[in-house]
Amino acid sequence: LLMAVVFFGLAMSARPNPRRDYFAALFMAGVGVVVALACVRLEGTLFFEAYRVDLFSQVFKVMLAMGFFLVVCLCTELNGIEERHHPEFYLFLTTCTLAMMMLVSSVELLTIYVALELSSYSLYILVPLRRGHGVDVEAGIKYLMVGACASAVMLFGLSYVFGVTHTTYLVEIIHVLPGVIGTPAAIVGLLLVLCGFFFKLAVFPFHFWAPDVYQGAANQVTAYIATASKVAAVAIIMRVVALSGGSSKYLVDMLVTLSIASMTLGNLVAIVQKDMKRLLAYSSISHAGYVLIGILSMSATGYASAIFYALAYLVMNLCCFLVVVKVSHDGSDLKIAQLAGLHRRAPLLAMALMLAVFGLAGIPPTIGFTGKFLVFAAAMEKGYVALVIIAMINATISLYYYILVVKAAYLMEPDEELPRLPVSIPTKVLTVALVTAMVVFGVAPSYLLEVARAAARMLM
Amino acid sequence: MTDLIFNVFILLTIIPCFWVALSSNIVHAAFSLLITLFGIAGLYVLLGADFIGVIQVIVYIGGILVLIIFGVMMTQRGKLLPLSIQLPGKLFGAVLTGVILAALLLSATRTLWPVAAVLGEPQLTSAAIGDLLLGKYLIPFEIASVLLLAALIGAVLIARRSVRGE
Amino acid sequence: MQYSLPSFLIVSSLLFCLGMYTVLTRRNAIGILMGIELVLNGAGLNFVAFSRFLEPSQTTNLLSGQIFTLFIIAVAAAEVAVALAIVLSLYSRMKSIDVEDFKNLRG
Repeated sequence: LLMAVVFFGLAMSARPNPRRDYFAALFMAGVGVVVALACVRLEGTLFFEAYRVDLFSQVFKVMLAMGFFLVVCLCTELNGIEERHHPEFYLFLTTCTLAMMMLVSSVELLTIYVALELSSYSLYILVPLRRGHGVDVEAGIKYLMVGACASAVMLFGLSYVFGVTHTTYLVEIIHVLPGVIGTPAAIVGLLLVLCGFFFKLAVFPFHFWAPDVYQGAANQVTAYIATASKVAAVAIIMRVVALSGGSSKYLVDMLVTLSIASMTLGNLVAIVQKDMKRLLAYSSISHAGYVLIGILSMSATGYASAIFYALAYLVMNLCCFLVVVKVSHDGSDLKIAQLAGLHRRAPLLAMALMLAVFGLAGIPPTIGFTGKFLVFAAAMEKGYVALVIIAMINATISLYYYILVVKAAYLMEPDEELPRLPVSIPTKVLTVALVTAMVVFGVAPSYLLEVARAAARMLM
Repeated sequence: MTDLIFNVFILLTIIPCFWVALSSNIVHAAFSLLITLFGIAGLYVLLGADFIGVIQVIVYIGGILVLIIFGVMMTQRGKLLPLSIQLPGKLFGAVLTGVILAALLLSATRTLWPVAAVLGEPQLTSAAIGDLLLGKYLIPFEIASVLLLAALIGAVLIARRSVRGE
Repeated sequence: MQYSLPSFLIVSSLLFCLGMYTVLTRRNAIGILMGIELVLNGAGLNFVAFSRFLEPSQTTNLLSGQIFTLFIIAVAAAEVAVALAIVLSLYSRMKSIDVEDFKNLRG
């Protein structure tokens, strides 16, 4: 709660006073991370049990604060958006993080709904904020329309869940629901609720918005959408799936089909992508599929692997977006071809990109591999062998288009000699930090795994 | 007697809906939405939720619908706003909604709802809602206030930007 | 239909499906907004109907459904504000876009 107050102050202070520059936001975000880390051990329920602070929510809060802090670091020279809008830009980033932190630790249907709406609305506003040309507003409209419709459908599902259990507190729902899961209304309700969350995670039937919005929004905004809002979506889906107590076979089958569909679709379409951000969009869709595998195994290890995978995904994607932001200095969209000859222009960035892309593909040394390995292990444990095999195939397919990116960065020669990319000191430090995090947690994930497992147990 | 009023309000709600969905003229759709919202407000009052019914009339019809009609008027002169993510035509839409409708109707009628034996006489609810709002549901109330704030600033920001014609 | 819970659920399901149909088939952006409003109203009606007919369990008394609807109306208001801001900015840019196309054609 302390953190919510801090962020509330941050939101107030970021009110559109004119020339508020970037460093104040950075400092505030730093405070946010420190506060999040400080109260990891905090326990207890507040506000008439509507707001539960436990290890599960705290772990996600730390991840969200970290994501927010790293994204703010990315906006050193926020060129994608006019200067006049910088304060507002930070304001909406802050409200979105505030909402997601509330979302993660709320255990009451109404709080979940309102927090989800706040986080989506701040994103709807952020997307069209881009400088100049009109493609961003069109992406904004598309994102808003699909998002509003998904949340309306989710609301309808919520009303059925409320009807069946006649309580808005998740704690009670967990007791009541397994008993009535048989009734058609409960299944329909739960299904519709999940649709709303799947939209946020861009799972297969709800992924239309992702590529256009990734391309349309400013780079920093896309970075934020790709990382932080996905982590929050994972957290809330886990709470809802745990809700059903893993009893309904019907739900598990649906999750299996969805995860296979989003994995294969994400990977196959990504192969033909030219624009870097669209490629990252499709790769994030396929990663949503992988995370679903962890969630649908509905066991403590399954949830722990999903949490770990979410963290791994956060770190890797942020590193990719760091490179994208740095290379396209005028905030415009980045074609893969533009990455050509990166290793001569900015060796550090090229190396970071290579490692991040390998991580996403799941190559052994990196954190990505351990994430995938854990998720597959959890799924195997529950006996979904066919699913794991399909996931493996998908991983190899994804390897192909990731290599394409690395090839562009290293082997292709740029047609005309591009200037040497100036990489400022703080960005160097940041890249090194991200790279070391990826490798260290790849090799020795035990500590993180322990935290994830403890958090998962909290959920059951 | 209540059944009669109930059926009147149901008709008042459902019939205009078809215009909203089907009519080619967008202005007709907007005004039929008006009638539907009145029907829903009536249903709320019939359900003993008088406070919500009044709120529905004031906020929904007075505010939101006026905004929608304002939006319709503003964009009336130009050509239609093309949206590139249009799902393949009416057939797909009709089929999908038909399936969902069947599932919903099935679930609505099939499940045995633990209906309360004695339906309490509906009494004034506004006082009770007030203390609930600031008591049990304090957190959503706070988040909703931040939400409205953000929406306000965002809407002004985007609208002002376009007026200046950047 | 007599005055009972299932009939209310049928009405709100009808609202939901008509709203979804509007969203799926309308060409006009504001038409889609209306569809979304219909779906939200359907959900609101559901909540109030449940809170009226089901006997209150210990944590929720009679009015929790209505609180939900109150919040739905608030959120819908914010939603329409943001959506219309974006629609109008696209609409104004749309006109300016036409001008640009024309210029490019000539250029």
